[in-house]
Amino acid sequence: MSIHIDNVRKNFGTFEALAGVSLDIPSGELVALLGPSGSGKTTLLRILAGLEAPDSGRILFEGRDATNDHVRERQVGFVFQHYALFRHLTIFENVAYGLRVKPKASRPADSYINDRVNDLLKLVQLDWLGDRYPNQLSGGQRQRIALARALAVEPKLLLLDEPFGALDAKVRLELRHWLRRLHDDLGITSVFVTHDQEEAMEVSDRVVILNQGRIEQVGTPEEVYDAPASPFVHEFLGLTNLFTGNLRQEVLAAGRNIKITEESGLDDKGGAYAYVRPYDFEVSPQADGEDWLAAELALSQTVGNIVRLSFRVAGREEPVRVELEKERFRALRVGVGAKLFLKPRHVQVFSKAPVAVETPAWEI
Amino acid sequence: MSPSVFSTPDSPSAAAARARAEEVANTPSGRLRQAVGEPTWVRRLLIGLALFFIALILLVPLAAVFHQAFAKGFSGYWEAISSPDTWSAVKLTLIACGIAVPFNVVFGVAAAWCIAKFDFKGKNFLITLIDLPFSISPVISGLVFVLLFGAQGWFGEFFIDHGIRILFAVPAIVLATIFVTFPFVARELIPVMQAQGTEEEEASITLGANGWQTFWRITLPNIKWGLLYGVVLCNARAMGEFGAVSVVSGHIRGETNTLPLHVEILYNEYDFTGAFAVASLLAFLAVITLIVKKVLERGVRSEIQEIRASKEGAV
Amino acid sequence: MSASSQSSIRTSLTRPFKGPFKKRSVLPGFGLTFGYTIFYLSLIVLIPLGALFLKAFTLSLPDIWATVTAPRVLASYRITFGAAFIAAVINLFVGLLIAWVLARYEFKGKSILDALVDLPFALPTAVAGIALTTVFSVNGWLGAPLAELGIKVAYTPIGIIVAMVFISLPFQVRTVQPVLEDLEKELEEASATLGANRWQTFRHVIFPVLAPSLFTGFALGFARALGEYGSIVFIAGNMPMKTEITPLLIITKLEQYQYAEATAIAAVTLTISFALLFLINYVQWRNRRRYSL
Repeated sequence: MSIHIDNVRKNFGTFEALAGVSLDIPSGELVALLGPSGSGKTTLLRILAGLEAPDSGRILFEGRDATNDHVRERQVGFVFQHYALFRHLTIFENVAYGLRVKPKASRPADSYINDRVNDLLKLVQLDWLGDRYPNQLSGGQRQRIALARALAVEPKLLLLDEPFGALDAKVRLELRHWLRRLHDDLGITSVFVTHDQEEAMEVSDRVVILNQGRIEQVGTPEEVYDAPASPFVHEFLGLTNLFTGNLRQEVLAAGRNIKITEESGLDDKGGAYAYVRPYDFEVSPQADGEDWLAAELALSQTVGNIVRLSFRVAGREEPVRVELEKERFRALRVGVGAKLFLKPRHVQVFSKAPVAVETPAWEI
Repeated sequence: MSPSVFSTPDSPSAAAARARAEEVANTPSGRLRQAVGEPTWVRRLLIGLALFFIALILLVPLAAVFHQAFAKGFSGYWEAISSPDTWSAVKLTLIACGIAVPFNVVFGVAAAWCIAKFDFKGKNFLITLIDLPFSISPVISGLVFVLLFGAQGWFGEFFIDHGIRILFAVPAIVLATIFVTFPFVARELIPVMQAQGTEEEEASITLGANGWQTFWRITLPNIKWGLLYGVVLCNARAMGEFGAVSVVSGHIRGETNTLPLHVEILYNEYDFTGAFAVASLLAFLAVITLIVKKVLERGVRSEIQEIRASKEGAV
Repeated sequence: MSASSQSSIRTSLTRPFKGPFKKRSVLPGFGLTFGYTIFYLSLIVLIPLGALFLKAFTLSLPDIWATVTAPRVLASYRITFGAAFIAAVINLFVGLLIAWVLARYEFKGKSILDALVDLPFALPTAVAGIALTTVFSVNGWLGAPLAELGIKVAYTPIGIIVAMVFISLPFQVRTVQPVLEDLEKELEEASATLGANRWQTFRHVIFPVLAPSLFTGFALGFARALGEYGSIVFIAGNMPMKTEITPLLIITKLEQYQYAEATAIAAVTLTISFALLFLINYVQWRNRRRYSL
């Protein structure tokens, strides 16, 4: 089912949750709504489900206005963040619920319900748990049952609210792959909410990045990562180094010059914001040319196969964070206090000032 | 909202704290942790004092009821219990409870549903209003119905003209009982339903269930212990209410006497054995209530806690 | 765990909701249940209470004043309020002790003790009344030894206090107990590691947290004792000017068909009860705001 969201707004009291959001979701896609807390992503999901009503704007399903449809009529499957499994019903009855509450005229026979539930339990690979109760299941199992329950009513649209949020890291990773495969098998249009950029990148066909009730960017995971539309998107998608200054002939004056490797398309004289990801630096013991930045190694920390380095650069308060493979760092044969030279391989430049976002930080 | 004896006695965090304490006590370092407690002799002294006061204030009067009831042996006891007046009092008490409790259950469920599952203005004020009967003297609770249905009351003339006896008859007794037991069920259900939130109901609706299906299949099973708990408390108060019923009943022997009123009459006639025999029925009921209440508390606690556990993910 | 935006839009339990009258929800039945709640509340509680205040004002204001300040009425206030206050003070200590022991210590039979605390509200007040009277009469189990010491309990103001202590004890225990159980052990441990002794810890760490609940329990018990009738009439002796409590006076006026006067006295009592209720709610509200997370 294709979805068209047209200029949807929603306020909670004085809090603006959605400030005019428009979005198209083609049939069969798996879309991630990605953003920090309070960005409006869950509100948008609940509006799609019909659990909240927009203050203004329209929701179209297959081109038909569904804004005022009741949840029951929307044929959506909703997987709640905390699963909302019915505690007093067995797993089997949880999955069967949607079929059992159908109006008498359309309610399937018990034998059909039986088969359907068993099929679904097999689909989520938990058919041996049918007579257990939700509190006897692990978090990952509950998640899969919640999904089976939502699928029982054959929804045209599957909505998942932070589907992996309450799980521990290892289970989360397994379920991500599983969900992706399941989606490929079933082909149901699916939208899920997450605040974890890695999760969004890994699972979805397209990522919708939200911030303060507005869409910042829509694109495939590669598009948003390689060509972020705003400083917010760049910062939200991972740890980075920001250099501010004035742009003169593709060179950013930021205490030390940074050579901009790509055509920025910015006004030569305007203020500019240049980002370099930690792994986009070359590190060398000597400078061969003008574009190198002199830096002193302040800290180093080995995490698995990579080494996280923190450099002090003259005229700059913030340290410059650099990531190197362990082998390459060893080849430098240096330690803390060493004078080295840095050169960015890849720079992303914006003319718009960045907004503060929570980024995952290294504990250095 | 004021807490009272009637509110769910154990907050979930308290239970969690207790579970934690038990955990600690079972670990080798448990003894060490208790180093922040009082020395053993202080502990024993405090426990002893508490036992002493509970025995003095609570246990002695309870024992006295049964002691007095059997002062003239079992036959004297049986004589008092089996008198027709006692039986008509039992019947009237059961009638009053049989009407008051279901009425307040329906109200309690309705009130808890709109208060716990929805956000609206003036909610706290509404809760305060529901609590009002708790803060009103039973005598005044009876008085208001005398004023409404007495000969000069607002509706008194109307009913007297139509030959319907309200005051000094069963209807007023039932009304007074409903009034004094009004908040019980609602007060028990509101915190349970608030703790459970609306997620399961929303899930039910997204799966295509309508309102009634959601209520019967999801909400009711989830609140059954809380509901039962409220019913038990409501029933105990309804059976034992004295002041309010006393004002509206007219004390007509064999007709408008409930069990507590019957106790009073027998006592005032110096039939102490009779009074205490009937009182022992009520005291027995009170003890049963305390036991059932204690058992139900565990269920109520689980209704509040399970939802938290299920939100915390893996078991 | 994620703190998603969902938490901010979940139905809030204590925070008053701002916006239109009611927040939209997909759950049905608000109109029905809200309407029924208001209807039933009005029918059973609000209209009867309204009738009481209207009836009180069928007397002229000077008449009301004369009624509610008559010597016998004033004497009943004195004995009722005085006894209720003393009972509440006694329960402040006894209630705290019992709550402390139940919340803090493990011992055999604790759950029976815990259940027994609720006896005063499970036991019909008339039964409590005749039982207390019997126990505390001059030849009763406790009355006899006390009489030998020259203390007469039954049919004196002391009897009224005893009945009030009985009836309001659970309020104090059940208000303080959950607060004690919720108190983080870490706070006391922190205090101990900082060198405080047990008494200092109680005085400076536990007591300040406990104080609002002690006050609330005090006020709840006091309010309950003010209105109590059943357990007191038997033990009080009911001598006008000496051991006649206000609720009994209301009944006496009613039996003499002095409805307006009974109503005026009731209205005064009710106003005081509501003022207490308001005060209790205010203290709790302020307390919640101060300590809420």
